[in-house]
Amino acid sequence: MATPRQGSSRVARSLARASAQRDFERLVRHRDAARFGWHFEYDGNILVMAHLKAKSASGGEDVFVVSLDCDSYDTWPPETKFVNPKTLTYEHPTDLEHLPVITGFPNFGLHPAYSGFSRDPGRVDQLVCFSLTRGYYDSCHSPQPHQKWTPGRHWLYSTVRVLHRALQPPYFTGRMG
Amino acid sequence: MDTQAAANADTKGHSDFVVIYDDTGADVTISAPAGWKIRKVIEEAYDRLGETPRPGDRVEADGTDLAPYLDLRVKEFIEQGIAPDLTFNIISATGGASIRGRS
Repeated sequence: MATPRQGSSRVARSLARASAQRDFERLVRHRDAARFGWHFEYDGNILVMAHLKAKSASGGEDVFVVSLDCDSYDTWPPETKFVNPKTLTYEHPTDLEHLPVITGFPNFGLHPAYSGFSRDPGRVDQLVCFSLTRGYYDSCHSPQPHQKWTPGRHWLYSTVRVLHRALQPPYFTGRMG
Repeated sequence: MDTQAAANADTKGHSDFVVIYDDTGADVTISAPAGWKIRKVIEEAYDRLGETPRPGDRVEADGTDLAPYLDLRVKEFIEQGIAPDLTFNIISATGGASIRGRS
């Protein structure tokens, strides 16, 4: 018998779209959106773009755009990538400058060109890696039970909030590239 | 007392702390008497949120770890200006072990 592939699985588009729309609306209304100056855009389907402010220990400020692809949402977390704000996509190595340098943030990895995705061994892509991103599960991770993405408990906010914290001092130090 | 903190304190000496649970985005407002310890504010927040502390949980105020301040009384906490907007975040640990692929 073939060994089942690890990682996320497909979700019916109508369900993924409904979940994305619902949680985009919750996210826009959340008190932290105003508190931290977050800005969000939704394409009406499964794609949410988050504009997040970053601050370094030296006082430098910046803004990064993060694509939250809800293709498998909310059975699985959003596929999360830092993207070029003009194209809203990520091409390696052209778009390296649109990635932040984040150092020392616990249980967080940002890999500009990761290879080793379980569902697509030939894929080389950006991997934002923690247990509230889909890439984490598609790169052979097994979280502790209390850390695992849990539909109905975790939602877009949960992912965005970790990204926001990673983009603050002392972790954020500048841009790649 | 900080202007924002003063605005959150009522005439009976209670101060309103907003506590946000990062895992779920849920929040509660805890009206705390001046004599409560910050630890009590957080315990009350967990209870009102229907959550229990998990391994690795931490509480922050705008990025500042509140662990050193848990035994301060509300009055002292506010006077020291540690969290002027009286907003706390309870942060649960995420998973993120080393990976087998290459980057």
